[in-house]
Amino acid sequence: MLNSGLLSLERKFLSNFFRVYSQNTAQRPIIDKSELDSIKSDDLRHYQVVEAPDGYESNAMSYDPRMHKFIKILMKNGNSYLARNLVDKALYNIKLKQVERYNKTEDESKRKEIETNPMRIFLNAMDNTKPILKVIGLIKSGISYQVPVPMSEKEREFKATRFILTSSREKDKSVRFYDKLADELIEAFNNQGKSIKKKVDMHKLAEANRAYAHFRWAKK
Amino acid sequence: MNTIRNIRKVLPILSFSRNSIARSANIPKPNLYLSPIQSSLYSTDQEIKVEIKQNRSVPHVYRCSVNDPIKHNVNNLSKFYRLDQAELNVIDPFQECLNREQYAEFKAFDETCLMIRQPGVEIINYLKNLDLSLPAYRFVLYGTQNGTGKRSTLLHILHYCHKDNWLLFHVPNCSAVLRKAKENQPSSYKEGRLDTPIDAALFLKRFSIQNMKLLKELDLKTTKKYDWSKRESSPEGTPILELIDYANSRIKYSSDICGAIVREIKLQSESNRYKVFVAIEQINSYFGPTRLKRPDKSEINVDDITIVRNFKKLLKNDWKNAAVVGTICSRGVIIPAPNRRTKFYDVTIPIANRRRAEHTLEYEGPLTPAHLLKKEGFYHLEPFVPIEIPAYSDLEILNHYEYYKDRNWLQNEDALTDSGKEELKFLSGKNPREFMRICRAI
Repeated sequence: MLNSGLLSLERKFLSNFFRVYSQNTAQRPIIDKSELDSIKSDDLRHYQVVEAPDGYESNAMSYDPRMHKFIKILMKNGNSYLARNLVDKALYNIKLKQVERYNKTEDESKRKEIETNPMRIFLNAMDNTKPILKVIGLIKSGISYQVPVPMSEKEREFKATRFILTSSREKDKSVRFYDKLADELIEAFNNQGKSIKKKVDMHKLAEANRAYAHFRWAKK
Repeated sequence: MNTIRNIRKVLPILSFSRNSIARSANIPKPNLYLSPIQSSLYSTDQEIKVEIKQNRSVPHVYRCSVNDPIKHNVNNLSKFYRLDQAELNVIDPFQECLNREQYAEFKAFDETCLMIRQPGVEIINYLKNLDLSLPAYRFVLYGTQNGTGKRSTLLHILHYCHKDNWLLFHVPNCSAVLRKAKENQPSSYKEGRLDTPIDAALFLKRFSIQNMKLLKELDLKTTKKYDWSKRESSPEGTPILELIDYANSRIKYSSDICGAIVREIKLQSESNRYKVFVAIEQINSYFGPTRLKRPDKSEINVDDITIVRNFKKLLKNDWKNAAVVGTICSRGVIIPAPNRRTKFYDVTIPIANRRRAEHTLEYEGPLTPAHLLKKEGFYHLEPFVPIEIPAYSDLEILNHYEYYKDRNWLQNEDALTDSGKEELKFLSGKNPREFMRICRAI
């Protein structure tokens, strides 16, 4: 336990200390394989400095950067093996349900409507739960106001993962986590469920405080 | 120079004699099974050419049109055949034959399909040509790695035996009793022995469902009076089906009734009215230690557990009209360790709980019969036919991949390309279980 704590501290310092690339010149490496193949021989990027990829980045078919971020937010106590397993099982559960529906329907026109790709269900569910506005507290002349402001893309992604994770953790404790996560993702894919409701509540709060929106530009 | 001349004289004669053997094609084909390479040696040149032409013209086929396991032969190898759901409910009523994930896949695919593999067809061919008047034949299935499909080949053979009217004696997951029996109590029949009533009752229920049709036809009756306790007993001439019903009402005596049924079946097999197929998984657990203990917490030998003691009698070859197929593996089995500190390996306990349970380590030795059965088990089963179940060949893994594609199981767009196929092949190392595991989340 002590060891791991020390190591993480060391890593923090060293990573800044030994950083070789300057941020202005160095380029992020291309990880997608199809994008790599499309680069021509006379491309300028051949002659620029490129950073080495991180350890977790790969062009295996199971890797997706958004999914990777989701797993790291789910993780507890640095146990990323467990977090990865839980998400894999949830995807497996989604696939079992949808493929069973697909194989049991005989009409080809109805078949095409069923979405069976678990990755696409996951990404669409994330897109559906992304909020646009949030509310920040602001004190002006002794009175506190709640001011609606737009969010950055990174923060929206983070909020969506929070909504999905918390709403699946709140459910019945006798059910396994990966089963609950799978149910939640399918519900969010269809624009239903707890996580979507949380997003709507957030928007309502911003809508109610619409009158104070111009305070965003005011000085403190 | 003389020697060279002599050789030149002899050479044409030799070559002629070789050709004459090949062309005559009068070599009698042996009844036993031949591998495709061996059979190609026996067939003439013309037949081989025809086969190659067919392969080129016909598109890739991964499904077998023959769904009856009696008709399976070498031509149907490495293809999927469909099992009837009604038959499967009879063969394994409690879904214990295969992995839990495999049953989930069957449900999702809306059908149950198994691959016809070489060792399965090999044993079926052996069973067809057995001389049943000789003592019981014994086969041991093993694999050099885990997860190569021992249980699924056993299910294939069980399906054949069910169709061919064998009396099935099926014990799946027999080491579960030794690890964690659902209930245990001292035996009323003899002191020092241990009964496991619920597990025995479960076996009797499975046995009655699998063989209900055959048992009604045969109408077997007991040849002896059995005393269960001082007051309760069943007289001579009671039918076996009635005994099983009796075990349902009096679960306490179910493990003794198991012994009675084993004895009756072994005795009456000499009448040549039926043939018995014994299929026991994880056979090596019968020659190792247990986690069970007596009520006074003293350690107990495997032979003192009544069910195991009775089932072990089936493995001997002192009876006829029978064939025994057993599998050996390290998963789910307690394996004795040579080290004094680690008494035995037990992989079944999850990693999180290992520090609480004593003597748990993972077994990493070879998985051959000599190492898993040990001296005791080897001499108990000898002579037996060891049959290795290898990992997938190139054609087999391609067929499995195509079948998954057909059932819409592979969803990732990269997995459907040729490079994705190669990636899956490489990651799984052609191991069937590993291939299924990787394809789950993709």
